[in-house]
Amino acid sequence: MLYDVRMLVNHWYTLPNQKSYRANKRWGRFLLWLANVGGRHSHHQLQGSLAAASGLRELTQILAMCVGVPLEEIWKRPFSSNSLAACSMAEGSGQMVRGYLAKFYEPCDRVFNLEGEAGSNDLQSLGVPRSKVVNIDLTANVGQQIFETYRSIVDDSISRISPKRTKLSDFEWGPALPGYESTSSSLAMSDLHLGDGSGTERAQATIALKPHVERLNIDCIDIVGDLIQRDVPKVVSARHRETFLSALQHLSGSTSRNEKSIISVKVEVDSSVLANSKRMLEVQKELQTFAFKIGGRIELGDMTLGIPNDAPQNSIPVYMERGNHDEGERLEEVIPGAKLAPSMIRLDKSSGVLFCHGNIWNLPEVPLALK
Amino acid sequence: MEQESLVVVCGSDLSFPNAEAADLLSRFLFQLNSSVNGRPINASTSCVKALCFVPAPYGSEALIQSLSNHACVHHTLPCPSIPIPRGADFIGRHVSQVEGDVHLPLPDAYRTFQMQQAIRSQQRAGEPLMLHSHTPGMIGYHVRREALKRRYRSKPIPFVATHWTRYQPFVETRVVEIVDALRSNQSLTFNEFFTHGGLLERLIPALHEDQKYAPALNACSTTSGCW
Repeated sequence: MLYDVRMLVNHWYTLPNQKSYRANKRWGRFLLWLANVGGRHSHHQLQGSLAAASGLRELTQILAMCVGVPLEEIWKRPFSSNSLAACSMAEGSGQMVRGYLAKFYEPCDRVFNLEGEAGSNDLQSLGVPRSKVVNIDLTANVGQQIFETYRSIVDDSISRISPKRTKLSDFEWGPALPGYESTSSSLAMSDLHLGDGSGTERAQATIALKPHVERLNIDCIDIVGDLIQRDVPKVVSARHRETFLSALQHLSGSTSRNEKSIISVKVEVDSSVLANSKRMLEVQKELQTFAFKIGGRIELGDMTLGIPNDAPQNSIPVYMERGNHDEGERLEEVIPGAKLAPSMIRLDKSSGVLFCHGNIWNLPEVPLALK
Repeated sequence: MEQESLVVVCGSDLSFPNAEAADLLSRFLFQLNSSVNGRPINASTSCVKALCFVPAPYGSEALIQSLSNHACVHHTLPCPSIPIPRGADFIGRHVSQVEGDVHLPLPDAYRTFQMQQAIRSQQRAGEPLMLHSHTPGMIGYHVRREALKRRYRSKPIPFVATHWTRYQPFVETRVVEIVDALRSNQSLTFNEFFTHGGLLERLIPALHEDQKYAPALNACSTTSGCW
């Protein structure tokens, strides 16, 4: 075994320019395997480490031959590590920054180039396709060029554009919609986001709906979701809810054609959201207080809160926490035929529902637009 | 003819108009500012409004303006080159003492929040919207992240960036400066080490969230129009 190991060492110390190199290599590998398998210290794999170390030494010798100076001499010389590090750092930081820029520009729809051909070539070297590069002329109107770029992006991806929402100010309240003059309709409000924006403005907008509710012959108001807002403080949400429902009570006078009708709120609770019994109790308590305050009646599941009365003809169903209505999710369950609203306010002709997206209540111009 | 409007939410890591080592970008921002503020009275059918996120000088009040009154407004965000101390750091110490000895308290959440709020409020108004990153630094990185996030959620907003070649040597110099400061200072404290490390990281953000939005990135690479 010692002989074999010595042969092995001799082999790895032998430069491969000998004629018998191939045979030695094969023989050395065989001996290495033998030593690893049957050697006394085979469990340490020392022979393999020895071979690797020897190989490294051999490589060093080859390198020394190439350099022309023994490497040991180089290690002994005084060495300015700072200057070497500075050079590599400058080069390394350049590569790092360029890699970063290439990565940064990857998801861009367009990249504005301010430097003509030089900038364009630089962008190409960063992997940005020429079709995405927009040369900006700083002597011309920059705003106009940005707008044209926006138009070109839109044109490129026309199939993926969702219909733009009609602004509330563009909605034609006008005369009764043709074909629907004698049809009674219902008003659906979704995504009220109680707690967001201004409660007063939301209440004013709700009250401002009254003449339109009368004109459009609306006899039912559906409120879809978000009477309980999860991401705002409960106190704020409750305050906004109270303001909103008070305004709704004022609006409900139009639906019943009486001076003042008893507001009846039907509350549907999503079990996944309000599974917490403590939370449920809080909601019950709050709704009870509210129902007494406005002299109304609230149905919460099987329970009736507030003033018990005969079922009014014009009830206002209120649904709570029924999914993300902004994306049309589960909205169809609540209002049959209702889909994702392409505009902030529209008349759904299939269901006869006047659909007001709740986001409009948070805009300050809503009360003005409705007047 | 109906006038079309476009709101550009843009972010720059260099303060305007004194953009350091970025005269070209400064000129671009100036032209943008003047073009949106002083639109020609003649038959221009397009109207561009710009909401710019810019770095805040240390210790200054946050600047938040409304687009309803102006065509070009600025929101300030904490700048990555300015360490932002915690309240506790000021107890019993002068501001000048605190400045050099603080960690960066990861103001990313604040930046994300401000940008989300601005974009969300613009989307609510139903106006056409575009995101524009003037520089690929930290604030630009957040603009890019918002674009990716919305693309990932199938509510894409067009996203553009501005490139000029002098930005690269500018950042390289800063990187070398930071590394030199780390290397040469023998009596470097842990606080200083982490502050410089944070600066380096924020000069070139890690883009590690790209993995999260990989589907949006892949969709972008296969089609010319990404949104």
